[in-house]
Amino acid sequence: MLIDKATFVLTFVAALGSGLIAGVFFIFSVAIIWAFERLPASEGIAAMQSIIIVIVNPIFLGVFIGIGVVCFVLAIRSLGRWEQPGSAWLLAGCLLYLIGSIGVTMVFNVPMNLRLAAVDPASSAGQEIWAHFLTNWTVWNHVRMIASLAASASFMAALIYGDRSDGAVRR
Amino acid sequence: MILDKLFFVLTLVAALGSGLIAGAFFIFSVAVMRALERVPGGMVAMQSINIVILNPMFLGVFMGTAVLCLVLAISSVMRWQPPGSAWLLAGASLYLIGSMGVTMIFNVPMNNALVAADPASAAGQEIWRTYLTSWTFWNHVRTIASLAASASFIAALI
Repeated sequence: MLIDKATFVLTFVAALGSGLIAGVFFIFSVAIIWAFERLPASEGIAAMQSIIIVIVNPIFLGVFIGIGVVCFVLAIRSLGRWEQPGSAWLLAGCLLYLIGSIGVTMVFNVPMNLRLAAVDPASSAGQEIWAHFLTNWTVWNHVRMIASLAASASFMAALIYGDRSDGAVRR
Repeated sequence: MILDKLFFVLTLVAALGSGLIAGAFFIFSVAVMRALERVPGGMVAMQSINIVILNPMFLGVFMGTAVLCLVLAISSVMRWQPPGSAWLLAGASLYLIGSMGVTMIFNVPMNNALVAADPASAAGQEIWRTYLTSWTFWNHVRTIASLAASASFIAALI
């Protein structure tokens, strides 16, 4: 095995973790947002506001941010062992997650979350923000879902190619 | 050789699919259920999720991954080659029993009971309270099983 043990373990964790986060965004994109859109606006807003508050907890953030830290470490490792097979996949996975998952969340989804969390669900201003949220937040949720899934696939590719000196797949 | 490549790609897709499903369950366990418990309209919101989730996108990934698992389980037994085949069979079994099986036996009947209940009635609220603990417990189980399946498929790939 050419890839060192620590990098191997971290890449394995990153593959699993970014897949898990992709699934979180996936279920918002394919079910939760539609389900809340069908409800009377005040109820849909209240349910989404509650999720926005509760999701800021150690377990979710531990995985979401923890995988970001792992990506940061792996990105540096990949540059340090650039001539080794699998390094390009490793760097690709890290960049996809750091930019497409965490970056997109911070720049697009979080500001919309904060705006929605502050509205009165019964007000017409609140319902206007809700209508905007349902379209725009969901678009960026699709983007970060695809980026996280692509990151997971890239980490798997890095693991597959990483322990072959010739870069060939075992089978 | 072609068959090897095919099964390799199928295993990669199964690893990604079971990871996606693990994440879908994970967010209910760590945020959605607690969030809905806090709001008066929580039961109606969960009823709506249970209706909407029966769509081609979600079911396509959820059931599609199960079909892949079935194919991979059979192929792993027929072309037994440790340790890859053992990981493959473990991943397929974890998903088919721990994710699909648990869902069918425990979560789906509770979903059906919830959707049929009247949120305005005392009986409906009783069903919702039971749902919050029992459904969530089995959701933890299928989250862990799906994630373990994804890890096993990744192990089978490398």
